[in-house]
Parts: sequence; C-alpha cells; structure tokens
Amino acid sequence: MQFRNDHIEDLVRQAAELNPIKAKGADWDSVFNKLVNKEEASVKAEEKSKKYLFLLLFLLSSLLCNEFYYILYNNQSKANLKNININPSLKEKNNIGFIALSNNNNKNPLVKKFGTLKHYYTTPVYAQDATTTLLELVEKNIDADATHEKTENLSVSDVSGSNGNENITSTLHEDPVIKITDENSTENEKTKDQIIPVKTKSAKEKRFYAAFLLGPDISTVKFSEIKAAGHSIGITVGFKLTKRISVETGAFLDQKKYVAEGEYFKAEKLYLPDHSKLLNVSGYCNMIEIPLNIRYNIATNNNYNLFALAGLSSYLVQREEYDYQYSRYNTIYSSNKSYSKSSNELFNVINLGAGFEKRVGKLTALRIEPYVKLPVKGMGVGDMRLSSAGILVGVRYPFSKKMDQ
Amino acid sequence: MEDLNSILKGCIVNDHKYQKILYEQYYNYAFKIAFRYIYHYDNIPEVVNDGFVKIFRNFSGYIIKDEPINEYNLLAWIKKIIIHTAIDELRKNNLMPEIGAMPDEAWELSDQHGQADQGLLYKEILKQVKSLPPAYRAVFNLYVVDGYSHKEIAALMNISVGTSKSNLFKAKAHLQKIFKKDSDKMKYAISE
Repeated sequence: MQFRNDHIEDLVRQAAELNPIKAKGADWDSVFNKLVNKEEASVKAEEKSKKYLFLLLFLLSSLLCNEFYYILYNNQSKANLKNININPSLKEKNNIGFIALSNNNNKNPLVKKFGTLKHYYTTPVYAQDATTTLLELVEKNIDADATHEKTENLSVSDVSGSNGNENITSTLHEDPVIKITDENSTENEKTKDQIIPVKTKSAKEKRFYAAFLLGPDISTVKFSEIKAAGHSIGITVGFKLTKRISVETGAFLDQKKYVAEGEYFKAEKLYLPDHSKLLNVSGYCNMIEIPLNIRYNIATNNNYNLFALAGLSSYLVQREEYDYQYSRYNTIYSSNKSYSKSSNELFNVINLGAGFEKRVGKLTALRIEPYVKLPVKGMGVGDMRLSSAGILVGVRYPFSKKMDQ
Repeated sequence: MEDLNSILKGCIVNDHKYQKILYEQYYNYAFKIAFRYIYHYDNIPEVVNDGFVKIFRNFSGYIIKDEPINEYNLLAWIKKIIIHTAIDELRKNNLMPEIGAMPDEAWELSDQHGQADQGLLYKEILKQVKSLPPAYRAVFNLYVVDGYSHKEIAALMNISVGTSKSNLFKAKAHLQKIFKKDSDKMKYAISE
C-alpha cells in the first residue's frame, strides 16, 4: 500500500490526540518555588529602581525650589534697583538716613555705626544726574577701587535726616533702598560727596516661630510596592539660634499606609500557626511624630527663604492595622489584626528636607517643604524599616521674643 | 471541586491555591503537547513546569469568557505557551539531534484488544515522528498537528518561510520512507 501524505498527516493527528504517553514529574513545589523566586527577583529589581526614583524626586523637588527662589529673588532685586530715582525731597522724609561717601577721614564716632553697611557698599556710588538709576551707577562704578568699602571712607559729616544714631543702621536682610539727593547740585559739587539715603527699619526680628503644616505622605517598606498616600498634619515650632540656623520641633499626626513583603515584617506578634510563612502584609499605622530638626537658611531675604533641614524623629505609635496573607503547606490563608499603642520609637527615623518660604503678609509666610524620612531601625509590631517621602505645605508665623540682627 | 471560573479568577490574582489546582488539572494536557517536541522523556517535566511558570506570570492579562469558550481559550493558551517553551528549549540546544530510547513504562496502553492495537500503532507513529531531526520534527508538529502556518512557524523558529516548507517536505518524505518499511503493520492498522 502506498501511503499518501494525507494519510500520514491524519494518522499523526490521531496519534497526537490520543497520545498514549504517561505524564510524569508533576511537581507543584518546583513551579511554586520558581514563581516565588521570579517574583522576588522582579521585586528586587523594582525596589532598586524605586530607591533611585525616590532620591531623584527629592533632588528634583529641591532643585525646583532653589530655581524658583532665585528667579523670584532676581526679579525682585531688579525691580528694586529700577525703582530707584533721585528724590529731591528726601530731606523732608523721616526715617531716612543719608550716607555720604567722601575721602575725608572724619573721626566722628558715628562712622563706626556705618561699618555694618560695608557689605552693601563695596564700591562708592557717584550720582551724575537726577535720572540716573542705581543699575547704571553700579555699571559705571564696576571698576571702582574696592578699598572704598572701608568704613574710613564714610563720613558722617554729610549725614542728615536721621533722628538719632539708632536709626542709621540697616537690617542685613533687607535690600537697601538707596536714594540720591540732587536738590542742590552746587552743594554736591561743593562737598564732592554723594549722599545716599538709606531707608531704615527695625533691627529686631522675632526669634520664635510656629508653622502649621500638612501634606500627603508616601511610605514604603524597603522601597517595595507603594499602597496609597497617607497624610501628615501638625505644628512645628522653631527657635532661631542665629540668622541662618534654627532648631525646630513639634508634633504631627501621621497616617502611613504601606505594603510589606513577608520577609520584611517580623511575624512574631501575628501569632501565626506553626510551619506558616508570612507572604505579605498590607496596612496602615497612625502615629504621633515628634521631630527634632536643625534648619539652615541657605538663602534668605525679606520675602523669601530657602532652607534645608535635617534631624531625627520619634514616633508614638497609636494604632496599627494589618491585612496579611500567609502560606501553610502550600495553602494560602488571609487574616487581619490590629494593635493599639503598640510601641514608642525614639529617634528612629532620619529626616531630610528642603523648603521654601514666601512672605505673604506682614508676618506670615507660606512654607513648602518636601522631605524624605529614612529609617534607622524598625518600627511597629512588624519592626518594619519604613521610608517615607512627602511634601508639607503650610503657614509660618513668628510669635515671640525678638532677636537683634 | 472548584469551577473553572473560580480557578481562573484565583490565578488572575496570583492566588497560589488556585494556581496549584490549575496546574494539577492541566499538567497531563501540557505534558502531551511538550512530548511531541522534546525528545527526552525525562526533560519534559522541566519544560512543562517552565511553561506553567510563564502561564502564571502572565495570567493577570487573561480575559475570562463564558463557558465553554472559557476552557477552549484556556487550552489554546496553555498549548501556545507550552509549544513556545518547548521551541525555546530546542533552540537553546541549537536543534541538535538527540539519541536515546523511550522507556517502555512511559507508554499507557489500554487493556481492551482493539484499543490496545490502536495504542500500539499510535505509539509507533509518535516514536517515528520523534525520531525526526529536531528541526523537521518541530516544523512537522507545528504545521500538521498544531495548525500553524508556514509564516507563523518561520516567525516562531526564526527561519525563513522557504526553510519551513522545505523542512516540512523533508519530514513527510522521511516519515513516508519509514512507514513504507513497516507497511504490513500500517495496513493492519488502517483496516481497523
């Protein structure tokens, strides 16, 4: 008999369909292990990428704050400089001091008072006519001899319009509003001095301040999966040690939501049956956070502050609630547990933050503060190493004792 | 006993309990598919297990449909993944010809007379198909048994459509030659 191709194909199809082979080697454990290993590998890769993403986001937000600050700062400085006009009626105004730049070595004790201003007037400024702006003056004097900044070159003989010695100094924070008198040009020629009136203000600033802050908080255990955003709300109180350095503390009500792999959660307090393996935990935690931070003002003026802060936080854990899954003899079980006031953790989290403050009223300032919190040790019943990031937004208000500048 | 829908839903959410049930239910089916491609009987479980790992890893995208389409879809999907895994295994070994005999205890033979004869015939046919060089065997199985087109085979095996056609032709010619030698046995089987 001659076999045609069709016959062969049909026979093979039938044979394949009714394949009389015995299947052997079914081994679910092997498949299970491969699945778990692959999951672990992918989780580790994901964790690594999340870790870098976390840091990148923090750096980016800090950078943005920085850029924002400098744009606003430059705009304001330019606006201030362009607004400088020669005002012939300066002498009539109160609270204006006149700084005369001359070559006389006047021994008047008031010269020393002006010594504090040398930061601003490193080069002498010579007004040419009534419409000259300070920008132009600065350009013209760009090559001026830097030695003019010395206080010896400042004379009080031409200082007028101030009510007393106390009013002559200026706050370092403030952009000086400098106005050049041109009322009597012959007088100027006679003295060959340039009179620069400086607006003065109170030289004191409040040392204590408080801020009400709130914002979302994203938490992750070992940079694994992120469940949902929690929140943080509270009050921070600060004390200015110096113009740039402050100490801040306060109290925040935090709710952190997170998902943890079983290996990152100590299961002792879940009281699982013997031979159980915890697979994952999902839950939230309500805590009172007490931070203690050192704040450093990187750049500051009257309207804006750019700062960085670092410190440690303590946590009083109020409530923890967990849904968890565990396997026992290859069967998966689900359960949940909640705990109240399970632990108090002292200084177990490092705070790193950067922020930006903009004055919105006479005293109040709007504050935006992105932060990251990195664990020093475990937290809660599961002893989890919980990392967080978020952004706090709120208002700051000075409320007590003044400090001299 | 869990119904298929529950099993599928469990697998979609990565529930290991349902994954185990699905594995146990469809292991034989997957094994018989892999058997046609993989020469060594002892290597088949590993390929099948790898296939199931792929299945479970990708189950989140599975769309549940009504019965009986649901099971057809599932069977087709399992078949596709097991075939791909087996082809990957062959390619990993550079489609090198293999040697070695099938252990007799691997065959499941019926006690009934007619079925026993038919079983012997099918056993013989499968043996002959398995004796083909791996490249011919794969193309033959993909085209004749699993219904792939030459274009699909070419894409899967990373060969040209011409090579696929040529391999199929050679595989058929090879089998015809073998079957001719044993024509008496075949005649008997066909008359049955």
